[in-house]
Amino acid sequence: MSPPSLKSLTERACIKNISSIRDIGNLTYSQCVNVLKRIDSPRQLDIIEENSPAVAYDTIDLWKAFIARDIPEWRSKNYSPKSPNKWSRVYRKYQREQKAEIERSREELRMAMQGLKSEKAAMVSKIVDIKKLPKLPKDSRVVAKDGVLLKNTKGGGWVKQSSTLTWTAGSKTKMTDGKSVLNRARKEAREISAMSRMSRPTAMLRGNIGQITKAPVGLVEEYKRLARPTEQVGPVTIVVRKKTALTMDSSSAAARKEELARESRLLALTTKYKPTVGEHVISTSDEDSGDDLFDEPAARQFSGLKSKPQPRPISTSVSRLGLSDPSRPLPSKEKAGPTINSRSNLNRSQLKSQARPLTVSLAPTRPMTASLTSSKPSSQPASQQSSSPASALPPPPKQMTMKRKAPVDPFHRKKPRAS
Amino acid sequence: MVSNSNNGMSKYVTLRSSDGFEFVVLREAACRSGAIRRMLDPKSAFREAAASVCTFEEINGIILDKVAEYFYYNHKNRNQEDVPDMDIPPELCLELLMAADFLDSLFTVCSSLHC
Repeated sequence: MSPPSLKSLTERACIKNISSIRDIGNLTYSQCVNVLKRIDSPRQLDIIEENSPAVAYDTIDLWKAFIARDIPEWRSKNYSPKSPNKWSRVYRKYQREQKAEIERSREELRMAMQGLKSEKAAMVSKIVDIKKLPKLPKDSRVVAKDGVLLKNTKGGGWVKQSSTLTWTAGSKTKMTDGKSVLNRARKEAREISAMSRMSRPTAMLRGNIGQITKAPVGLVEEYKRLARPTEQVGPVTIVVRKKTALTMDSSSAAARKEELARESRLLALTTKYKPTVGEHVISTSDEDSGDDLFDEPAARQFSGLKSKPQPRPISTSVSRLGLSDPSRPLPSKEKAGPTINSRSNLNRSQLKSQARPLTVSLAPTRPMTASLTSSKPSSQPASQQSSSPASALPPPPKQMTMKRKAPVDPFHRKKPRAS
Repeated sequence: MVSNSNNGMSKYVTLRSSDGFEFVVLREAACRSGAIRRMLDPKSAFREAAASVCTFEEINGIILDKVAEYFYYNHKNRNQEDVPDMDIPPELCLELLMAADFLDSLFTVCSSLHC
């Protein structure tokens, strides 16, 4: 590999400084073809040709290359010069025509834009002099006085009336261009149309807003509550639950049989009064130890009666309000303890008395005291002690009739109470 | 001028420019140019061949200086690869292009025939 030839070296050097070449002197076209081909500007080529006219005859291809590069539609025109050294003129002609065309299309675009703008401008509202607006028709309330029109206002006074439309209803929209004028006009039109209207729609007008139409809910609820039939009347007794016959192991078959019979009777009794019974048995087995099944009297009564030494039948207890469930089987029928032991003492009366507390006197007693004593405790013990099987049944139904006072409307009482 | 030669030919040759500058270069180096080789060929009938002097009427001293420099650049790097280019100042490049084209031409050129 030998070093490059002097020619190639110089060619490279020339191309490096090509922008400063103005003249090729005695060089022939073939000698500097490689350099001339690298010229970018047709203007430069033109200058070289001017300075070295001889080369112009040979630069045809160069000019053709320029035309192809710069003028996109040269094929449609396809100019050729009269003599081969005039190709630069061809190029110039092409260029001129192209410029003219660009100018024309630009002008067209501008006109189109103008047209659009003018169309838009025609649709926008313009601000006009107020004097050109139409005048309002004559108002009957308006009176001419001392050369000035006066309008009779609501208050009775006279206000100067302007003869033209005014758009000063108090809106703050500034009127700078057509759009804002329209906005303002819209607002004022809305205001004016609202003048004849009331602020509150007719459907929402009410005679006297402060007037009470409904009773306070709290009072109503309380009244409802009190008007309901109360369940609890009798004394509340706490009963200690005794172990059932399941845990017994020392009883004989006969005792078991009798116990079952008693249970069934009790059940029959209780089911009879089912619809009206609102009793609930509260029984505790706290004091009941597993071993003391039938030996001690476990019933305790808090009704104000003294606890009797003899084993009393377990009386069912009655709960306070709200826990009544007539269909609920009373656990009292399961209490077989004292019945076993004292079955000899038990008689029908005792059974009945056992059933006695099941009856309910449904007189609404209010207010219920916390001491669990009702207003009619005396009736029960009396009935318990002096009940007979025959008279057992009729009295309960009587007691269970509902006694309700007529509902009182606190707002429409006939006469206020004297006391 | 005349120096020790091999087989009758001097080792060095003289290149003379149009404005009288003379450059002594190795024959071997100068014969890189085909034109010079032919001019200095003893078999040819050129007067230069006898005296081993080449005169160039179209090439001035400055350009011929660059040409001589190129001869040595070429001779020095004749066996090397990818040598960096020789530096050529822009004001000379066009004329040098002309000279290079002249010197490297394949046609036998009847350049100078000063007798």
